[in-house]
Amino acid sequence: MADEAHSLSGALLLGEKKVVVNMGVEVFEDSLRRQGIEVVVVRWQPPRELPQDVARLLDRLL
Amino acid sequence: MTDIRDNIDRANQKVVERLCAGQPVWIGCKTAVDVIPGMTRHTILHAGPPIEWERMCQPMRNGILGAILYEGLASDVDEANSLASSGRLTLAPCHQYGAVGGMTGITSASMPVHIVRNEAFGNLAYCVPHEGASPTGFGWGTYDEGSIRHARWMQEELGPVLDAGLRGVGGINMRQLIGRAIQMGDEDHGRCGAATTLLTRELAPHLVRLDVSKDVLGRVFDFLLSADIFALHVIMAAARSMVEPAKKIPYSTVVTTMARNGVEFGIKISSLGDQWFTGPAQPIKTVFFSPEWTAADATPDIGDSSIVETVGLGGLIHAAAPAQEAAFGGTYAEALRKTEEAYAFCAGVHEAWTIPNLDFRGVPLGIDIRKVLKMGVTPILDTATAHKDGGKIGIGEARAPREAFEAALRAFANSHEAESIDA
Amino acid sequence: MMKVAHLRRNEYLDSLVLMNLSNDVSSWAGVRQAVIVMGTDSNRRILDQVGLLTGEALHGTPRDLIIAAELESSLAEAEFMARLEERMKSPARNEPEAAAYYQLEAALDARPEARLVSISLPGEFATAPARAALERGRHVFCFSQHVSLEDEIALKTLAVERGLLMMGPDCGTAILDGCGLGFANQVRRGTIGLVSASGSGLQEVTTLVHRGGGGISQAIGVGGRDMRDPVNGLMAEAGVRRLNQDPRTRVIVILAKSASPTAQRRVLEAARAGGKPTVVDFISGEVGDLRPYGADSEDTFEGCASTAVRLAGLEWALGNEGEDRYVTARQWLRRLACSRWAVRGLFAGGSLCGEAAHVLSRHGLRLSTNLEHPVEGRPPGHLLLDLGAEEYTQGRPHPFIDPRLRTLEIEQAFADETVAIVLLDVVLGWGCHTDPAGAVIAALQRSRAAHGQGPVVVASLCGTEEDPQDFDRQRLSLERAGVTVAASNAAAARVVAELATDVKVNNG
Repeated sequence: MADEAHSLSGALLLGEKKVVVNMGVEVFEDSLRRQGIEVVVVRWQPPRELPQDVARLLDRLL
Repeated sequence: MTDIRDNIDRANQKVVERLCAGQPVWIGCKTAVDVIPGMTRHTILHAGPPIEWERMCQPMRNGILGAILYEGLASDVDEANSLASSGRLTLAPCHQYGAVGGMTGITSASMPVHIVRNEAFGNLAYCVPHEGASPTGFGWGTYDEGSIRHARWMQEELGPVLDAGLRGVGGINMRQLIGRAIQMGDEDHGRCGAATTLLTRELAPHLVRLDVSKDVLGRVFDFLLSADIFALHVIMAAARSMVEPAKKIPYSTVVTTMARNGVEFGIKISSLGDQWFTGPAQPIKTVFFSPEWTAADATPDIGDSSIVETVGLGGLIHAAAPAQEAAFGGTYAEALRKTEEAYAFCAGVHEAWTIPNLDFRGVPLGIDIRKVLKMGVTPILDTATAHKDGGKIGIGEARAPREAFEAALRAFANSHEAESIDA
Repeated sequence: MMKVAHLRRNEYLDSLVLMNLSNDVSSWAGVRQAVIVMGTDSNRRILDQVGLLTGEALHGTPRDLIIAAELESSLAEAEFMARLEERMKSPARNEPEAAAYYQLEAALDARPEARLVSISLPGEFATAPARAALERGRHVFCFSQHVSLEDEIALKTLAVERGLLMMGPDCGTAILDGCGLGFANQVRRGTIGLVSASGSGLQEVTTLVHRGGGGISQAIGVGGRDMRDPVNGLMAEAGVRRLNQDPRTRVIVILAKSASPTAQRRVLEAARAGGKPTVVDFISGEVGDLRPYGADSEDTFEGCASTAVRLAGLEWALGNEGEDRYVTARQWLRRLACSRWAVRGLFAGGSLCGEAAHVLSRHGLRLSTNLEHPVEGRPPGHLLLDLGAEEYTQGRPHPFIDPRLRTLEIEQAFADETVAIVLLDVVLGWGCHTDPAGAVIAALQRSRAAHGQGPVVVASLCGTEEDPQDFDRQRLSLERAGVTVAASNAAAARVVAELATDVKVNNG
């Protein structure tokens, strides 16, 4: 694919529009924005504790 | 042998299709005992999963007392109390009778009920009209003279006039109306202003042509215009009619009912038919109408109105109704986040109900209990808050309890034990 | 004096936000101390140590936010909590908060133009989003540590299959398309490409290339474990192949920290296949025979940078430091008590610590470090410490961001009457502290106030004039505080080696 070849050549690792998804510490969002990169934020939260049997069922069913 | 996950995913898609295919049409407004199958003069229906008189919250008990007095089954409150606790009445969930009810959800024989038919499948659903702007009424858990008088007015004037008007208009397609209301900024639970306006507009030309006195018409119009929330109970009946054909799809983990009785929050999932799975009804994060009330005065989450979240409306689509979020001091960004969450725990989207703010993406449809549990978040419901002794004291937001979803998942796994579910 | 402790169940804020918040709140009038942290075991130990593990705080789990403080009698608890609510509600941002997603998949579906995902979650939660990103055709920059080896190999294998970059886990730095990811410096775009298993090494080489007149095409971090067995250079090789095909890249630099023989072979073969001039630094590891591969070998980052710049056809613009710059340091040394003779290196960058140790050893100094094993107490003799090592960063932000641990160590070095020379790395760049020099200077001032003149301090300043921290101002303020600033980490280590020999000579 033309797109892949282009990215393989390293010319556009961040894509044409320089958009990065940040998942984690907020300080990186800031650094990226100050460099003119558009940051798409994914707000992560620690998962709630599930009863063990439910957690096991989810592994099997989802 | 196919993986059970494929079966579940396919089944869930089927449920989403069934929900989507629903064509709820508001066709009439008639007396409960005349139209609700199984309804008797000694039946009183309530919101939420089954619950005995002794365990009911006070507002629900008050509503039942009010209905008993209104129906003339007792002549005073003491008699009504004895009758209610005697076991001689049938006290049952609205859901069990193909109906839904707002807040306490009290539905008795003589009350008018909206009738919605799902034209795609032919099934019917029912809901007592919203009692209007007053903070009192059986739905809010009061049984004073005013509440009883108002119930009689709804029976004698509101119901028949609406019914005649609907005959004139030939029924109102709620699938289309809900879609338009969403595009106008309603989430169709806490905010129904657009929907109520659209309904009133459709009915108006037919209402004015009825052979009914101007006084009566005046009172009906005053009532329709007095509260944005009127459309909610029609929308609830529409949602109730949509979920029935989506029940009993084997392997599906999609929620077909969410309902509360002020003590417990119950859900049903498609593959397990009409089995209830419950958890404790949650406290409501409330904006109180007056500073005299605090969380200590409130009844926990109550009502069948969460049927609208079950079909992708209300608390699932704040992104379509930022004003609903603002009512709680929230921002548009928060509205988006909550809606994004809903997309993540739903199995699909509705093809006709779309959100302009999200590039006309269909509303999230088909709450999947597996994803709810995996994500560790439960659906948000937009609701109102009742005083623990009855009466409306605020509007709010509540979350469904995870216990109900856990119970449902366990039951689902048990019923599929043969599929070698083990790690 | 009153202690307050509140628990917010299931409320989460990341450790850096919490650090800023705690610092901020601790500086309020009426607040003796404030610690606002997630209820992890190590945080609860910290609370216990400062006497704040009381009341509700006792019941905190890792999913809960603990607010603990000691208030003077002038500040009522209600007032404190109200002010804290306000502060927590409004982050110090001027723009309205951009909409955030809860789920990575939703974000990626909504934004197909986002080609890279940067992940800095706690390690046990990093694998799933990394996989989700790779499966959707995106590159991954994974700052998170403590991801299992099994997961690392699976993720990198998947990435290589898809022609994508899986930078990390434990990758602190990368510079792609001229943009810094993680701890990275603002450097000129140019023709020198890097593949690095070392974060601070990448920073040192790229900044020296820039200051030496060259520029960077792409600097690909691969994570600290990549070159070791059993990963054996899986991503490093892919990185080299990528640079082979990049028309912008004319010279390739490989920083092969702890490279196994297999990894060495892989990257060298890949480089030879590409035919571009290649420089390799094995970072004090065992070096194989490079002749068959036609690559240049260097044993310092400074050497890599200067060789790469020359291979790129440019003139190396950084001169060598003259003897005269260290006159002050020598005089300082002579005034020290005879008991003081040892070197204490206190590093924020692990590879910079390693390089310094290598240079000092080459000059004949016998020293100990914590690079292989944690160090018990402070053994006598020359000692170099990597303060970013695991034993120091449990439940605590990296020393690039949080200078407090190094401040304590500097004070300890001054108090220790055997220490004559303190060696530091001061690292600038994106993601780093806003004023690293300032933190060092404050520590020196406090230490000198308590222990007198104290050891000679030698530092390197890793950065460029384009970094957010104002490189020149940082250097000037260090020099004014009596710090000898060398042109590179290797140069600083050479200076220290000479000074240490001087001391030995002086002390007989």
